[in-house]
Amino acid sequence: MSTPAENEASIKQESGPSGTVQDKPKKIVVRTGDGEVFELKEEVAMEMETIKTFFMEDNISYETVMPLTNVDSWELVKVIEYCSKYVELKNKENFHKELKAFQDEFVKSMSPKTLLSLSNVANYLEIKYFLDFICQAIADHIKSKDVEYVRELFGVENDFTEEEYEMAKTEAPWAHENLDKDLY
Amino acid sequence: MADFRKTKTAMAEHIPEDVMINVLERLPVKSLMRFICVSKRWRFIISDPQFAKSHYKLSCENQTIRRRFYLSNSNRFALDSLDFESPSPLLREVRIPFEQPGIKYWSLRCSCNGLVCAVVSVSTSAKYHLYIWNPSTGFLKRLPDPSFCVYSMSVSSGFFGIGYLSATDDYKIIKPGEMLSLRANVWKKIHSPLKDLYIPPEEGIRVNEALHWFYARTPSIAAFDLATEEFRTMPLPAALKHTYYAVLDCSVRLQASVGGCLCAFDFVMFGGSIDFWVMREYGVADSWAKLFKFNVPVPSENIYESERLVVSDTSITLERANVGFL
Repeated sequence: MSTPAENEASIKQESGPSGTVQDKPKKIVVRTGDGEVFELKEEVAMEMETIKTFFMEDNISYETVMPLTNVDSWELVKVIEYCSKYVELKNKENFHKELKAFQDEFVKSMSPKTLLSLSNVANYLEIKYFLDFICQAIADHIKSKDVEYVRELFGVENDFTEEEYEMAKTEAPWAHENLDKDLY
Repeated sequence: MADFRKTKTAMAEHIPEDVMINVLERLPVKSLMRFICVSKRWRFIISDPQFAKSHYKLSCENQTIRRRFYLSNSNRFALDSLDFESPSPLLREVRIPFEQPGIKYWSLRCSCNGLVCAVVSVSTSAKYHLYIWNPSTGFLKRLPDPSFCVYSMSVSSGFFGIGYLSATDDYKIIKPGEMLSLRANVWKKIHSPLKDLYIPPEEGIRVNEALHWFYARTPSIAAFDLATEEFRTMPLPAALKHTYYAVLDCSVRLQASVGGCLCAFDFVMFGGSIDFWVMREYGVADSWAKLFKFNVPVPSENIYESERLVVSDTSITLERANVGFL
């Protein structure tokens, strides 16, 4: 793994006389919370509002390594995977069909905790379509689960007294039945 | 390097509330009604009318609205709720929430966005009571009694309709002579240039934020605009206009297509063929186009029958229902 200093040096080489820069695809460099450095294609990086704003607002040079303190490297790998695919499929004819196939594969073996982590990252990096997708995946996962499960998963404390909880249940007792069987 | 997320417990990962709401907006109603028991904060969020609106909007966009059919039950005070779209349809008994002493009969007259308008006739009163009910969430509201009850003892007479007006985020209910806005909660007299007697006692079909009925007089279509609160007529396809129709024997049925267009077809009580027309451009007489024609088998029973054609992307179903009093 190259050190930040080495990386910055190699970037300086790439952005030499203006003639050579035009030939090479622009790259943006970020550093994750756990110290890893990633080089992103400009078009993929620009899908993330947070990164886009960082560089565009104050016209910051691409030589700067942007810190992403709240993102772990494994999470960024997943984000890059999704956004690269999205950008690739964006203008294709079968966009929806192919994206759906990719999405199904993408979340196939993800644990609920992974989904929650990714939702945090998607929110932090401000990637709307990725956030919506992850939230949909979380919703699909919890829709047939019971109240206890949901509390544990999201770390929500039960602030109902036993009485209050029973009262709340009576508002829609049918909603607590047939949790496995139905395909809501 | 301080990282707020590293303080999370072993099991749970904390996500900000607006992300949580994004997740909640994607849940079906049944899950939401269960999750009001998760915590007081969750109950507050889910019960918020703003949330209900954005949830419904998203459901419409993603087409995840489940359609349920409410059928009469041998129990006078309950309905069977049937979800056709689940692979193994579940029948669930739903008790009516407006059961009361002296109740004579009741019926569900019209519905919109999951809200149902129920009419209840009670022996102690000449007028009938109206309720707005959401069977999915249990919401129930009694409406003020209407002023005009022309056929005061008969619950089924007179046309009825309910529609949503997005500009004012309001629901409006129309019946002969008057209209009620849910927000205003008062009945307002409606002066109509049309003769109410020529409009069949059915639910208005909603297209383009207006309600539509077959109008036997011209014959044409009677339309009530929810925004201007006025009645007007619209033309039927020429082929359906040639015969005189008696009001209760009306042979033309209207409905809305999946894409939001107004459709019309002949009603066939004794079997025969059906011509199905669609008004491609709302309000434009020339845009009526015949979509298809098909044959219908002769029904075995002839109580007052109501037919509906359900047209989806992949199939066409002819529904027949026997309508009677409960």
